[in-house]
Amino acid sequence: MPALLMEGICKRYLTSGARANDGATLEVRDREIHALVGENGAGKTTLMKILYGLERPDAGRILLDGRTVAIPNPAAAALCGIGMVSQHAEVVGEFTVAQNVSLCAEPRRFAFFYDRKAAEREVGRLAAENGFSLDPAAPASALSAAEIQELEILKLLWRRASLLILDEPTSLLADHEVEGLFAGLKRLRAAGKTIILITHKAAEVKRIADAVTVMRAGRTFIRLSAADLAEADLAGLMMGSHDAMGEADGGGAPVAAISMADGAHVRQAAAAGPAVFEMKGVTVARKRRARPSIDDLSLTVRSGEIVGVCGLAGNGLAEVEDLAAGIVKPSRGSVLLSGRPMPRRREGGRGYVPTDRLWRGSSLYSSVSENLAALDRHSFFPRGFEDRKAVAHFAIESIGCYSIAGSPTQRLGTLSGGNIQKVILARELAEPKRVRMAKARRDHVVAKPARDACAVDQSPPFLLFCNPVQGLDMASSSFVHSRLVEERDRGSAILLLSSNLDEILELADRIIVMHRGSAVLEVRNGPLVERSAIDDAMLGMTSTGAGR
Amino acid sequence: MNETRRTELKGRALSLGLALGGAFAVTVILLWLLSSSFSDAFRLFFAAPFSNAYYLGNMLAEVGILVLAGLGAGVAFGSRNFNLGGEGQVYLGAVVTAAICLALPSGNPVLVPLLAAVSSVLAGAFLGWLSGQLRLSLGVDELISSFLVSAAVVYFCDFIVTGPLQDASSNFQATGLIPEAFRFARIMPPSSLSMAVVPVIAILVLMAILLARTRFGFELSLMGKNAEFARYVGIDQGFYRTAPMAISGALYGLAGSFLVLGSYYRVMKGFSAGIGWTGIAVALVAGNAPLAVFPAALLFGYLDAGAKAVMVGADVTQEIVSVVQAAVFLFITARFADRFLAGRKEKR
Repeated sequence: MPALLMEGICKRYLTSGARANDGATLEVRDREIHALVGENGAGKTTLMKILYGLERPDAGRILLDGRTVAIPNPAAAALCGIGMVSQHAEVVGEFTVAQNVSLCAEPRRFAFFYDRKAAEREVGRLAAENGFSLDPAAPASALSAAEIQELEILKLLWRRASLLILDEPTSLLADHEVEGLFAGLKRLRAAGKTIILITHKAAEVKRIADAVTVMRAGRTFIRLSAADLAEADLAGLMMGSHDAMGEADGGGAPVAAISMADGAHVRQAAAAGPAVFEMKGVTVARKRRARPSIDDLSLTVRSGEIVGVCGLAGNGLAEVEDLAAGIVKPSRGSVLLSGRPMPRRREGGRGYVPTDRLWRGSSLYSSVSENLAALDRHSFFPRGFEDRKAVAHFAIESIGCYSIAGSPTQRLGTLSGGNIQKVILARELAEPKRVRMAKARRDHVVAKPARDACAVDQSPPFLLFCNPVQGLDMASSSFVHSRLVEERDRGSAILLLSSNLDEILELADRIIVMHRGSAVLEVRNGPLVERSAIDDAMLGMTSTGAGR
Repeated sequence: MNETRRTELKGRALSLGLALGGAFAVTVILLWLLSSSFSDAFRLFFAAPFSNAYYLGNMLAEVGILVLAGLGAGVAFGSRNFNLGGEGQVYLGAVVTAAICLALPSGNPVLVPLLAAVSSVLAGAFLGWLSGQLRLSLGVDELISSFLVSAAVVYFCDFIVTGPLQDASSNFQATGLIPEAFRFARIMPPSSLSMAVVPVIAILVLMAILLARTRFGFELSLMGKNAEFARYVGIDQGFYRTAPMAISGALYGLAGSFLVLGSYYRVMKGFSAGIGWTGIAVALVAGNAPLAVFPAALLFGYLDAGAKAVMVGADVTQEIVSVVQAAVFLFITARFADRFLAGRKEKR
């Protein structure tokens, strides 16, 4: 008898009318690590939200140990022993680990006062029992992404959850941190817990899962024991060969051409041109801290090359992003674009895809077309008044060229993460409207096929891409990557900041590794670059000792 | 933009309807509890504003002023700036207009009121800008500074009205009447409805165009929805902290000026009498949409007129209107409509 059986689950979202779940079935055995895989929008998260009581299904039933249960809210889920770690961490930064873990279930003195000592002792014991090395007295704001995952899991264990749901737990983790997390999950399994792992990374599934359920378009497509399944097959199952073509239509050819196997082909850059973006001896000091967040950093990005900067969280990547975006001014040193100090946003002709795509990169309460028009405002509002035709034309064109699943008038917040990222790309990679209009007129005269509208004549001279595929599925990721390479080949200077080493190794022409605010390693990418050397450098273990 | 906007408008209209229903129920209960003759009070409260030209004209004149105040509050809210200084800005606008008109009694009948109105606009704009600038340069919350500055300005205006401008021939604490030549022509005498509604309508239309069709309006709404995104796409943060506050103050100042030029012809002590706050209520009910400001102002003007009528004709105190306004607030801010709509769809 399975520990959990979800049958015929249907859920339609009223606002968008989309069927998130359409007769999904999930069977999880006791003490099993079960991977729930699928592309963005396949309905994985919705299914788990239903199990955790955050959403109510339109149809279907849930059986725990053979008994039908109703789970109207998370409190009921907790009573059933179900706990969920959502995709975005939910910790109170000002609280300690112990306070976060015991929040709302604190040990009390005299049944009223928070018992700090007991909480720290008990949380410490629970952490040690499960092989986590968290300090219960440490403030949560000081934790790394991996430690926050451990904290989230501890929260569930504190509430005696026996069925743990983890939604994309590895999306923010570096490789060695993923190892640690997986080791922890295996210990939990040995201790009798059942774990559901939501992911879209096929490689992870193979490494850890006992069984796999593949979801596609709201349905559970197939259930397999992981041992039966080669990684390549899993990717194929997730995308579905027809669906992949369908989704990639518009940017279709590049998606097919640029796969992981073709990595070497991607890296054939033309000789890099003149320096476009430069940081010279940049230091960013921090208030009340001795060590600056960026310490004497110099880097150059030339036209026609991708410079990949990687590093673990907290080692200066976020600061480099703000510097290159012109949002933060350096305390010392200079940041130059084409030899001049950073100009205002659009004037220097630079595109910027931020890490924080939901808050910094988009206005969720504005429509898709408003988001698209937000950057090149001066040409969409000639003489101050809106050129509605131009805005509508640009929106329709962008939706077509980037195969965005949405309408121009739709509120951006109702789109999926991958589609929001495509909207950002469409805006940031667009030519200034002037050029587009001229092209449209020319096309009209020559009567070229409509498809050509997607071709770009003049790309931004400098592009800043920050974790551009974080949380995206394979089809969207390879689309983003192919666009990146296209822009590079057309002569853009591209600075790629990523905490994902695979992405850096696949795309970058030159690799810079950051540790504690300094560049500790700079290498030209090629077949001879050793992954382990970069891993070591990210941890500060370099032969030159520059990290310490 | 049509699809989202249509559902938005539908939701807003429904929430307005529910708020009205709730407010109506509360009013009826209060009238029933507080008046000796329920039927008289009921008739006066709901029918009196339409019963004759005097009541109707007075109501429409007030609606015009509330449109200005509502636009003023809304333009600041729409950009996530909070101007709570409406009271002081209205009062100062009125005092500036009265002072100029009284100082130049024999001036040109077109130029003097124009000068007075423009000066009032500038005075209000200055007060609004000041709070925006304080936020920019010193990090003072504009919500607090606008309120405090306004509180001080109210006392300053009280002093001007009861001191230098006090009408010696009057027993009231008020300025003298401005010369007849400077006044807006009345449309429905003896009511106070005047030609001031013409510029008010023009300003309403202009603001609607400004906010919905121009780059300024677009950038302002982006600031209001997500300031981090606005910074990211290169919108000048400083400008959109000060400009909306200045425009807001300007509209409040103009409301004060029109009250003098169109309705009262003088400034009494405590002149603003809640117009600044009602403006905020109007903007909230209208959801900061300029065109929705008119019906919202109509609602509050109507409630006020009904209260005045019932106060004169029956034994009910004016406080009842405050209670009714509070009820409208409550029903609007509770967003019953959203939940109602969601519940209905859930059932379907």
